Amino acid sequence: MISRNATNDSLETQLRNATNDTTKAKLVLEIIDNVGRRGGNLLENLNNGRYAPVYDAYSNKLDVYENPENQLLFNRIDKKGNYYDRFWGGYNNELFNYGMLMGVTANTEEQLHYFKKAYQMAKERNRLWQQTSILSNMAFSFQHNNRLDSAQFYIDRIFANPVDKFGGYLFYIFYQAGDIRLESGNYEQAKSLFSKGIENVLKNNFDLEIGLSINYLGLSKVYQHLNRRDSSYYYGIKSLNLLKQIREVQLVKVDLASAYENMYQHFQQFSQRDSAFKYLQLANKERAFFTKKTISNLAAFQQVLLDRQLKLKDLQREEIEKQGRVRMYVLIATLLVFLVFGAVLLYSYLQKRKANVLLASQKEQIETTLEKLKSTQAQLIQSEKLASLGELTAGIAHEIQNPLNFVNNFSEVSSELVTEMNQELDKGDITEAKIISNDLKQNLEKITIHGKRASSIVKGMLEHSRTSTGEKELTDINALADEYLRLTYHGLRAKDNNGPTPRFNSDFKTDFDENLPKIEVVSQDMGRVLLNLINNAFYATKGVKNPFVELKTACVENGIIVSIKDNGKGMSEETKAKIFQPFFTTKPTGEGTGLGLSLAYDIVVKGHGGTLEVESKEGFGTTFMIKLPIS
Amino acid sequence: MKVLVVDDEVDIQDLFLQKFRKEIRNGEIEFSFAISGENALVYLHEHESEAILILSDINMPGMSGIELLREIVEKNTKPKPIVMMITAYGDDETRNKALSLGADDFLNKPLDFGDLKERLFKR
Repeated sequence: MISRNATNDSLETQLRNATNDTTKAKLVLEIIDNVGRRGGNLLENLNNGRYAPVYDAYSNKLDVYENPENQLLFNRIDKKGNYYDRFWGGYNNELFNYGMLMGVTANTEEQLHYFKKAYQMAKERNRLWQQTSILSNMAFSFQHNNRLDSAQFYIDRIFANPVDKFGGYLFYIFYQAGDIRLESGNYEQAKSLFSKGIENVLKNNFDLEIGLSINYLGLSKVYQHLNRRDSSYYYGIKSLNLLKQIREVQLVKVDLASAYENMYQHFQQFSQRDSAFKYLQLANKERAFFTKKTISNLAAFQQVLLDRQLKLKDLQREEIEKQGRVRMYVLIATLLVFLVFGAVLLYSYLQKRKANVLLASQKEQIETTLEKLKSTQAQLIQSEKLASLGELTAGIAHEIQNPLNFVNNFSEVSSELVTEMNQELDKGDITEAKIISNDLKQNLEKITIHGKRASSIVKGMLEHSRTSTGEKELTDINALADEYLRLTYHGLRAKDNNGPTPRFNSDFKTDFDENLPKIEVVSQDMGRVLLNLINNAFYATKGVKNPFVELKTACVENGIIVSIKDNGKGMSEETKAKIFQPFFTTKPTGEGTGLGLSLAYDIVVKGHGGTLEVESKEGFGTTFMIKLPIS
Repeated sequence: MKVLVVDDEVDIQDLFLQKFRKEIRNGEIEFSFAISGENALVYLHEHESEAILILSDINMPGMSGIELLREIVEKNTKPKPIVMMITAYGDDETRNKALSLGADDFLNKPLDFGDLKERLFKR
């Protein structure tokens, strides 16, 4: 608000602190009333041309009405309540009043703007009286701008409504309508309308002086045009007397000067020049007074307007400064946000870089560890091979021992036979010598055979330790199984000879399917699998009664099965679940690498497309079954 | 003397025949051969009541020498055959086991034929 006083400040403070809508509404309406009161009797002031206080009051009231917060508040509250009507009705009135003020101060454009706004609002709220007042004043405005058709149009719109309901102020409408008819030359109609205006004033006994003075004046003018001297004089004098009391009726721009002028016209019309001159002088004097007063009032009004414009400019400047400050704060806040964001980003970047450095270092460590692991794994696999080779060594030694025994024995016996043969030759027994010679020849062949046998065993041993070529070849699985069974058995026997108790004394049995077809396997790898499984089977029987291992082969659909069964200790479910995991072993430290079954599994499943299954029950032994496809 | 040699290594047969060439020619010893425990039991069944000395390897596929010994002892044939066990594993446990099961002697491989001859002709 532009101008304030202590009461208003107090009301506004209360309004700011109020939490309840009803309380707020009550306070807003009190503020409006308070502002209005400060303008004095507004209608009287307006009628008397004291525009400045009226303008101050109206514009201040409009400020309150048009405050968006207040409009939201009064849209929120109960629409059937008194406060709602007081606010919106009051706002409608104020728009109209402000339009009126603009009209009397010759601000026609503004007047029309506010009238249209007020009319629209009145129409929406079905305020018939308000609509009528606006139409009336618009007609008045057009009339005084010499646009009689437009003026008549608005008056007709008024009379399209039931005018009886308008009450006390209807005399204004009748006057206005009559005045327009008068100017248009429709004297009879004008007479009728002025008469109705008088009738209305007398009927309602409201604003008698104003209502009668203007309508009498109108009738006087009509009678002048109708050339009815007495009637014109009669109503002219009555109007003059009343206007002498009230001086002016601003709303319709009728004043004492108007009454004097009418009398001047009257006497001029009826050729009474002295009297005419007298009233002309009085009219001029009165007009001069009113003109002076009007100029003074308008000057005061202009001053108020100027003050208000200046204050508005101040407010605008303040608003601009406020907006500038807000923009600056927003800018600073944005900058701060960006700074914080930047700091967070920087921190995040540094953390990320730190993490990346750490990650790179960890990656390097992991890679090094992985390399070490690979190397260790390779070593372990090699160890496993060597370990199995170790297990084989004794068996191989035994297997070699047999042919070597033959080589030695046949050499030895051959030497004896040579001596015998010589003796026979000396005796001349050629036949016997030839028999011995044949034996010798056979012995030499046997020496060769057993020498080769020993040689092939050594070759097999070397193959076992060598890296697999991966080439599959048709293999007699029965022979392979038998070979490895013997190697394992003899190996364990030989090793156990020098070892601690319990001694290895397990028995074994083979049950080979004679119709077993040869299948394509990497015999070196498959030998390693058999060795491992047989070795484990014998190991499992240590310490059990009547230890026993059975090796069996059989044909099945599209494949063969090799099963290695022992009556050893068996395995728990927990152990069974882990046996194919690399490095899992139940053997004491140093006795097993934990890779044997893992490698066996890989060789059978991945290398040969077969399966390796195990059945075991704790205390009842274990059976491993290798199933290999024929093709 | 009738001797049954039980060994899965068939070449052992030629060795015996050549090593005991003179004794065989002189009719002092007669060798028969079996290549498995089962084979030996068949032979013994066919030559029941003949005094026979059995020289058996222990480690053989199928029926082992120990099982063969157990079978012979259990059959309790008269006259009781002399059983001499031969093995590449000269450990005490095997020796004791064989002897406790009723073996008459225990020999280690490689065979010392001179020693064998002595032991055979002592009997």
